[in-house]
Amino acid sequence: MLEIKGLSVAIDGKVKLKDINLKVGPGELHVLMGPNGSGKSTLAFSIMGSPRYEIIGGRILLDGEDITDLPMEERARRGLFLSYQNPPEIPMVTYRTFLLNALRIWGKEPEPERIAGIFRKLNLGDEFLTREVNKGFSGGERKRAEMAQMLLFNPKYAILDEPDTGVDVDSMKLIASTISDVLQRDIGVLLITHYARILSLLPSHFTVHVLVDGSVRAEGGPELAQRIEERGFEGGRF
Amino acid sequence: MGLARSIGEAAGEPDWVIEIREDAERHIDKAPFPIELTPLDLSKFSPLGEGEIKIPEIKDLEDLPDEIRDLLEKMGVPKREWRRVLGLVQVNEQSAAGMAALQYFQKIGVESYPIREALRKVDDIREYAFKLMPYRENAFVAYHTAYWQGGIFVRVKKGVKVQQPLHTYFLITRGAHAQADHALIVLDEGSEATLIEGCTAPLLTRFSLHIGATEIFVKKGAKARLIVLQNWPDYVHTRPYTRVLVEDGADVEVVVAILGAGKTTGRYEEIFLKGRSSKATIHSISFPRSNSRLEDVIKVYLEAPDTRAMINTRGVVKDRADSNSYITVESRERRGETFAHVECSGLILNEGAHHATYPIMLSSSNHAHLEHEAYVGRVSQEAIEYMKSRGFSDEEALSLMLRGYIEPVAAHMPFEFSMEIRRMAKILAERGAA
Repeated sequence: MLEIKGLSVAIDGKVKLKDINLKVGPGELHVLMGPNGSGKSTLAFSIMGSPRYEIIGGRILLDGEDITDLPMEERARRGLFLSYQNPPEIPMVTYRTFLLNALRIWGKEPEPERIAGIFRKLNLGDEFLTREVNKGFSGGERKRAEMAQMLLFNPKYAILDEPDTGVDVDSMKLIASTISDVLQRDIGVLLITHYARILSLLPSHFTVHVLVDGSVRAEGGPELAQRIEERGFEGGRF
Repeated sequence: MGLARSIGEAAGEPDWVIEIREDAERHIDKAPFPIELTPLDLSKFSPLGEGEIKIPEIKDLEDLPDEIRDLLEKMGVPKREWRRVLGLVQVNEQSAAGMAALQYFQKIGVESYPIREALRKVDDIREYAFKLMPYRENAFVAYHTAYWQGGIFVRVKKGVKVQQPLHTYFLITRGAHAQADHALIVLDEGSEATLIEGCTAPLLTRFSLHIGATEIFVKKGAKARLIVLQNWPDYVHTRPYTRVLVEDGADVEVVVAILGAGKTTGRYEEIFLKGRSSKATIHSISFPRSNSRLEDVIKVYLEAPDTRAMINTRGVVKDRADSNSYITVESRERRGETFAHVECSGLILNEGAHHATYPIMLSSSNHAHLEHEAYVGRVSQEAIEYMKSRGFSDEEALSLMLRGYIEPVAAHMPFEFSMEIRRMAKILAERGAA
């Protein structure tokens, strides 16, 4: 269980998240929605442990273990994964080198064949592995490569920050099927999205959390996502 | 009697050599310092090393300063090599390994002597020796030409292709770590050889000024590869000078790794592509740190049709080091086409480190194709954080990025050096991530 208990977060002294409570169990899909600037990415980075965000209250527990004060890499090694909304470039490092080194660090076999297979599954040919990480990748390619990493690292819990933003229909289908796939493998998923569209491609059991101004204002089933899709956050009066 | 003459006479050098020394000595005060290099008050240094730095006698390797021990271990230099690589062994005679190497190379067609011996016994040496030392134009070259001591002469005979790299290190006897050692290298027509100068381990030297110089003649159709490795301690000023003359269809490749830049390092390298279709390739990587000041000057002159230069320099700058690359390509050919591609970049590891690149492309003909790319930047913190989210520690992330950065240059090094250079990047990452 990934448990967020009363989490409050500040950036440069400004409070961005107030008393967030959230529980993601293995194989569960949780959807985080909210208007721009409501704090969705802040929550994603805070759970992952980015040092740019200051935890001013609350705890984060991973399968019962308090990880609130652990550095990012320790959280990753304990099974937490964050798919970036805007994955950065890593200059001079090829995707293959990056992934092989990551696997080595994880103490796993460096399986170049498996990496290539996963990339192909996400419609990323072998040439992507010989290119510098994310350099010259389109938006859709970057996001699919994030999904490929999720499959490769096989985390316990994955936070996916807008994997469906700025991608074409085919990419969205691939991304959705990857999410369905990891849910089947009992990976707990916290999906941040603006659109109900991707939800229609995912298993129909999920919980929606609505974040407005740094607080969770509403929680419910798929019907909540539908309401937001129809009326927006203003009309929905959250 | 001037100092230059007394040095030459004491060594029993021929008159013509002593005359060159004296002429150069007269130019030490007259010749300018190259504008790119930090000037030095040369009168403060003793060419004979009197009153220079005293290195405490190191009887036992256990007496070595911790930092040097640590570095040698991390670089994987075998312990039995430590004395030699640190310059602690007084070599008066050729070492056994050196002798064996020499005999082998002689057999396959490589002539090699200590430079002083060569000046006496190689017939046509006057055609080469000091011909590429512009002591009227450069005060450091004047100082070197007046006061050089020790060094080597290597000649690869016509058509001989040497497979094994020649470590000039093994070939040097006395003056291996002299203040101003002189190397003269001649590759006769159609020959091929790789020469390795220096080594990656830190050098303990008793001189605080080093002005070595190398002259290289690459004759028609010959291929020369020169690998230069330098790791100077932080009390040393160095001003190494290299000039290369390249004839028709000949090829020179220079790979430089500066692992320690001393207090100030001013490398000055000039390559003259005299012959038609001759080519120069230069790869350089440097790791200036602490309070070092590094000036790396590379000048290539395209003087014939179809000449080509490819230059790629990279610096990883740390602490309060100040690193500067001056790359000049000048096309002097009026009618034929000439080509050059220059890439220079610097990676700044922390606030307070400094790197500048000054690429200059000169041409007065419309047949010259000269291009350059330059980049100076910090390590992307965003990329480091991203890698951390994938389980890399700061150190592992920085190390991987540094390796990627130096790889294009390291790949041109012989295997054992490229390994050491990669290790160096790892050491820097360990210290840089803290």
